[in-house]
Amino acid sequence: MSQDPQDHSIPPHELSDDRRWRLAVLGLGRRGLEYAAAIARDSGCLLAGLADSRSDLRSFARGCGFQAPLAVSLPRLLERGPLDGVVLCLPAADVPAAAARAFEAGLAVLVPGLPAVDVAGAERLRANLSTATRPVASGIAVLTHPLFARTAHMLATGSLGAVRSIRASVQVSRVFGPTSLPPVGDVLEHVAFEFVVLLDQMFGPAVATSARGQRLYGSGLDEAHVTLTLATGGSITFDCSWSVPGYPRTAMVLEVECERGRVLASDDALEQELDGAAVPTRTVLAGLQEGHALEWGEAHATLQAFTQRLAHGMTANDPLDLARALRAVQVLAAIRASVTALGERMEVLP
Amino acid sequence: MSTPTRRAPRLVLSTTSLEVPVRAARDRSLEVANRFRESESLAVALVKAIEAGAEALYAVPSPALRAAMDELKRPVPVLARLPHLPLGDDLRHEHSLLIPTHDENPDVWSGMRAGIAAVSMLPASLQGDLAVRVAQRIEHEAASLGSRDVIGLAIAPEITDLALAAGHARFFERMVRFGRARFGGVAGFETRDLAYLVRRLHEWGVEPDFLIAAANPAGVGMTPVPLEVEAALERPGIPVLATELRGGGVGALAEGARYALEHGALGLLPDLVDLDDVGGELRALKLLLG
Repeated sequence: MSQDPQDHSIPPHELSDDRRWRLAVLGLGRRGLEYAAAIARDSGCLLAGLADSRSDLRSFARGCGFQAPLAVSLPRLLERGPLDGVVLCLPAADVPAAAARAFEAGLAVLVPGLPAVDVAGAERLRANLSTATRPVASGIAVLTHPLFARTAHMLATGSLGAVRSIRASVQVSRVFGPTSLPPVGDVLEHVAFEFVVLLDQMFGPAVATSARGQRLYGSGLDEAHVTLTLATGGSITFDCSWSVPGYPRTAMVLEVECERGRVLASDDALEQELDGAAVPTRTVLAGLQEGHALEWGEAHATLQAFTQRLAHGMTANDPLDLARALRAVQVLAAIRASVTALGERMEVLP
Repeated sequence: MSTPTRRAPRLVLSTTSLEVPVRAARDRSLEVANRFRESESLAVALVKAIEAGAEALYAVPSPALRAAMDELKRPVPVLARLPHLPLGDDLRHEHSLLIPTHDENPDVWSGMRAGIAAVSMLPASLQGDLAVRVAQRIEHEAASLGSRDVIGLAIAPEITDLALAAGHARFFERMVRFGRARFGGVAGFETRDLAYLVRRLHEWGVEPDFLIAAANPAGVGMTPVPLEVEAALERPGIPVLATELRGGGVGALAEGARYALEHGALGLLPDLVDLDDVGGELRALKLLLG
């Protein structure tokens, strides 16, 4: 067994007779159905089960036409047949406990999105990782985004020189009054989380934060203005809001000033300005062949990466590294604490 | 598979980019949204489109579209893209179809029609079938489009592709039957998975009047593999209306249109976000269609 609890692969001889990954989905909300559809459409996978404790969600999934075994829980599903892995599409508060049960059952686990709502949940999940015997992965679609992957590569190769400053923003048009607030969660959980994971992947972990924020329509944050202090000594300033008009799609923007130029990267386009160059180079997402996987949907993109992980184990700077997602949960907690303390610097728990 | 007897429109102007995210540069999407913020500007564009030869609008229900159509004081044929799943629902755990709509002006007739739709699909409605949920949602939404203007129904891709992945053949049969009967026109499906949908529809013997899918030389949106999508376009039987002709803004409209028609598309479905001169460019597409 490898030393890293996330770093396993499944030997081919342990697969089903037809050599497909037998995957189940736990949690049959919107995201669970997206993953069920992605698994059903993937020729290398078999949708081997669906589970949810809510009868209305189970009934909806069956009404959609999925014929895989349906159960109220993972143990009940396992009574119906063997599985290789499970995708946890539950509300984040339920993920740590469900992950522990999946580890115990010896299953590979994919956790799309937020893996826990708070530090306690993140700690619980981290502590249980040592019991996992199969691959454990986080599914954050933006980490498979080709424009951000190019940006990361460009910065890593050092062609622009050392990074001097990083500014970032993430915004979307969703909440414009109390009636459009979701039942749970704030702008950090719904909008900023994936971006914080991306920043961690590109620039390394944050060790402290100071933040200001606004609660416009309820008790949760609707906007935040954040400074992250990085372990490397640098810092990132970023703004996030879900109350900006004109952004039906989430806009993630990153502006990096370097010694010899500047990079403006977003989920839409990548612009590179080398000092002394007459015009900046511009690349748009639609112009990239590698953007096609993402066009088919986030579930397809992360599922592809997950099945690669199942076959080959973890790679360097793996986009599915769960540790990074757990660190982001700690960062969000520190941001909330700093907002409550009116911008006071807060350490991010290691 | 026989050729469908109902004829789908061949040139359709899409206004969906005003309401749902489309593959286009963000600057361009914002520019178009600003241009058509006033209902009068949208109304003028609709008139120009019809005069240039567009046979219908492809639209989702929205107050802006309703206001523009009211400005016109004349019927504008609408190919309705339904159900319309509100963007804000992505903050919720449940699927959109399980979230009640918050209609500010509930229409008694649409409520009755939704009930009739459920009864007409017995026993599927007792089993919580997707087709019944979709038909009921469509009944509520069609009222805000002005159902006398609706000449056909296209099921939104999020729903089409969910039922397709689940292998739900009866959903496709039921939606075709419901769409034709309800609006007295054509019924079809928009998809991001054209190759697989065409293959499955042929296997199941289901004959919608049209499908809507991306087609452009760059292969943008032609998932999972452009070559398979080209083969599906060329396969006789189910007409395809080609959309995303500019491939997210990287190509020219005319090139995209020529590519789609050469590969077997029946018609063209450009969006406002693809057009600078609505009248002029639609006229040029009409000439290409012959």
